[in-house]
Amino acid sequence: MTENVGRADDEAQITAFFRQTLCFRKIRGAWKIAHQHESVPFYMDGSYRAAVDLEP
Amino acid sequence: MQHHQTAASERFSQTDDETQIRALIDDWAKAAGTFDIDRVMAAYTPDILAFDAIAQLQFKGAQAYREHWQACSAMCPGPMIFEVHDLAIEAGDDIAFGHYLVRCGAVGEDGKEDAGYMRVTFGCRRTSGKWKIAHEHFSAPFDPESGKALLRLEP
Repeated sequence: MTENVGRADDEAQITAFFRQTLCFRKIRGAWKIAHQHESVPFYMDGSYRAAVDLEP
Repeated sequence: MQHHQTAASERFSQTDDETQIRALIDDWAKAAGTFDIDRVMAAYTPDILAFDAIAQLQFKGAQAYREHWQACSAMCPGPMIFEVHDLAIEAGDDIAFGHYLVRCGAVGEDGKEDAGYMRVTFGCRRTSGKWKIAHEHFSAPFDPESGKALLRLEP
């Protein structure tokens, strides 16, 4: 029995880079996503703006 | 997790993994709350890949992440608040994942707490019998209308 943790940068329609963590569980032989976490960082310059303008 | 009949020893072994990972996260959280960076880093694999809530899209490897921890430590001189809530873990043979909410912030000079909740996902790998964190992802949601992080949400 194994669990897989995947992580990817994906490009959303607004052409921003997000981070995504996907966690899988095997159910009756098929892998399914049991947990998903998607985000962008935020700026700590007092604005707390979501950082949708970062590039890898 | 696949649900099937297991021998008593296998069931005990699963619970044992969760116990070990809870202890790992508990120790890590205590270290994080005091910026004991050596002790924080001891919880990570050398090839950790981290998504933090601030500063960069990602941190590749322990050295890069250590430097980020050091920079964060410089930003927060006073006592930190770092509470793990609702920790959930799913463990396989040598890979596990988990998630929790963290209430984090600082105590001001006036003694008042300034803290909010973020969400955390982590992935662990067992090597030579020991669980370590190979991936962690910290974030706050953001409001697409204002474009700002939502740092005062409550569970």
